[in-house]
Amino acid sequence: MDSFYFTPAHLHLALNHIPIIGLVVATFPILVGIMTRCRATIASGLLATILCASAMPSIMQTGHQAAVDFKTGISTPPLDAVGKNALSLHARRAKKTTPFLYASALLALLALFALIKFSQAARVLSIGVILGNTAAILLAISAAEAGGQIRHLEFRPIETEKVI
Amino acid sequence: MFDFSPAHLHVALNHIPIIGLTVASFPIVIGIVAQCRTTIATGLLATLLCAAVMPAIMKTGGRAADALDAGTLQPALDQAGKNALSLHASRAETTTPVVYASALLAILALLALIKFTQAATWLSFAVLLGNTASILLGIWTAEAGGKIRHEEFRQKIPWQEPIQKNNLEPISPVLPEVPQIPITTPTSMTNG
Repeated sequence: MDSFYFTPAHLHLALNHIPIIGLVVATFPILVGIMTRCRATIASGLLATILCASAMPSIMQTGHQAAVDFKTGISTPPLDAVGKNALSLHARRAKKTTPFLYASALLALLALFALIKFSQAARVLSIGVILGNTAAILLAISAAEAGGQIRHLEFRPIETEKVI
Repeated sequence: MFDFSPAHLHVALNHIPIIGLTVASFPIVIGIVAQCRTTIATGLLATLLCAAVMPAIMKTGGRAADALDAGTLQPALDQAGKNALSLHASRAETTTPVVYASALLAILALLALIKFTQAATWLSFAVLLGNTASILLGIWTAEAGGKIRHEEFRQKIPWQEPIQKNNLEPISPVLPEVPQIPITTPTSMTNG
């Protein structure tokens, strides 16, 4: 275990699957809770959604720091031109994804408060959270698709490699 | 847009035993605290779903390794990458049975929830422990996996790292000068 080596890039890669896998698993109790009309189950899914969203600032910060390390040459080996383009695309897509995730977390917070007294409103808000999570997951997949091409040459479409 | 080679799918799925099981444990904890069977059952089902992905993770990982060995997946790995791949594979084989054991406990807990609530609670605690072990082993496996392609994750020896923070030129290591000793043939050998 002596080989754990946590650079921003390393941390970023460890955390950046949370908006996809974390939100998929967090959506499951919300769905089950709505179907079985169980408040505790809905609440567990809403709390899990908030926890997943709370990882976003760390994901964005470590991602930004990793990009700076590449640009300044601290992180080696340096990126090729395709890798730099993928990094830029990944950053842009991540910036589009983040507000959706925060909106979903805000809805989850409202739904949690509504669960205390307004069950009907809480159900509607929970459906809103499911929709928000779905949008966030799809956008995160598009961001991850570009992110994978930064270092993994084997994930790049063959045409891109030929151009370079 | 999406190219789903085994390696690509493997990288997409292989975080599930870590992140998926962490989030799946959450309803189990809340269900035990709130004494709500539905919430516990949801967490147990989520654990089962995460474990159900393991065969796909192992299969895509195996195929990606085969493609690297056969040279169909380019670029080829360097020696450090090959070592990391071998370590990653052996660690994954250690992790998988623990994930399956946790899933088996989750099935038992789900069945116990129907009639034996007290036993179900104990079994759910066991699932939480199993998930924790699986998550820790998953992190251990992922740590080796990250080094297969990411050279920047490999631990560098301090004197091999170039110093470039302040726009300085990389400093090459200073080695002590070794005195040059002239090679002479012993006279006893030349005469004999």
